[in-house]
Amino acid sequence: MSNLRLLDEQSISSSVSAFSVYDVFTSDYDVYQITATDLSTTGTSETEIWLRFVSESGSVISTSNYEYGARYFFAWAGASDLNGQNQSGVRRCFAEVTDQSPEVASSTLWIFNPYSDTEYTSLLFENSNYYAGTYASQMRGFAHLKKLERVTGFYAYDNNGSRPLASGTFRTYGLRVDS
Amino acid sequence: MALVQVANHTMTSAANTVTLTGITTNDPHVLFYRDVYMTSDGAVPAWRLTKASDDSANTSSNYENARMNIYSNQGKYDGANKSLTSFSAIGTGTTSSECHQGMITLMNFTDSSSYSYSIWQQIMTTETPEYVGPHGGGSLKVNEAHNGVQFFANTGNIANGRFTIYKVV
Repeated sequence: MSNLRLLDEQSISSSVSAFSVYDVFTSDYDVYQITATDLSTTGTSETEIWLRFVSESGSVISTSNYEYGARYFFAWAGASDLNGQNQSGVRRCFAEVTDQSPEVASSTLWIFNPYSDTEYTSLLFENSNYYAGTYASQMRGFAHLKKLERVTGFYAYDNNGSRPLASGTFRTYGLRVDS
Repeated sequence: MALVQVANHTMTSAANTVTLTGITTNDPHVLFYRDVYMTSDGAVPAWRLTKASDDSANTSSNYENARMNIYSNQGKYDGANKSLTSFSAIGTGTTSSECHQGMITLMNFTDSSSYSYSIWQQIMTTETPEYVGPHGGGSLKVNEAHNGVQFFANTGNIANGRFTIYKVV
């Protein structure tokens, strides 16, 4: 039996600018994988999709405690850096940019120590995207939530709140350790 | 993707080396490590491959790597080395808020007639602190079967860490 266990699966069923997944991180695991597939927008105005974490109290953590770095890899150009210090979310974590289907985006995240209140929550992310009829891109990067606080869920949101998401499926897996 | 655990070690006291063995097939394996910090500020966690013949670390000068270190506060740094005696990370701190986590994919370990390969993605906080995400890979240029990984500190000891190897099936 695989040590990587599916814990939760949820899909966007109507146009939303943000989507929350609650109560998936617990004391049972300290490494998690999140996959986000088929992320698309309503209409043809493309958007970035960012990440915030959800605290144990159920509130979205939007304080300026996110630190991230990433590289963009563009099919039409070279690569470039994305940097962020003391930000209120992780820019382009789920999608560099996505657009109306069939130009969907997909991503994989590995989350470390979300339920610990003695260590920062950290993540690795990769995403693959196509948008505006022309642009293929990929990203890979990392982020920290510099806050000693238990995190129990996550929040995906479009960056300007006016280009809603039409579809997307979020699966959360826990990586079991047998002692 | 299914992951089946083959080795696990949780440190209960500081040590200069941490060795995990248990790789017995040539399938890809993934080593996850987390909460690794050191007894000396700025000490670098490094790792070597262990020989299937006797579980000892290969300390020869045959480790080669290339990597892209991504930062939150500056542009990326590309690095590469030949003829080293280990793979290594970046100096880190002495507390749980200045630590390392990451995943290392281990390829072609048990084939004694060709080289072994590692691909890593890491998240770390240095002693400064800076926030860094190295992505890289390397080869151990020796025709030898390997069965695991040995972590060590370049100075002082590893103070804390949890390490698990899974086989990809």
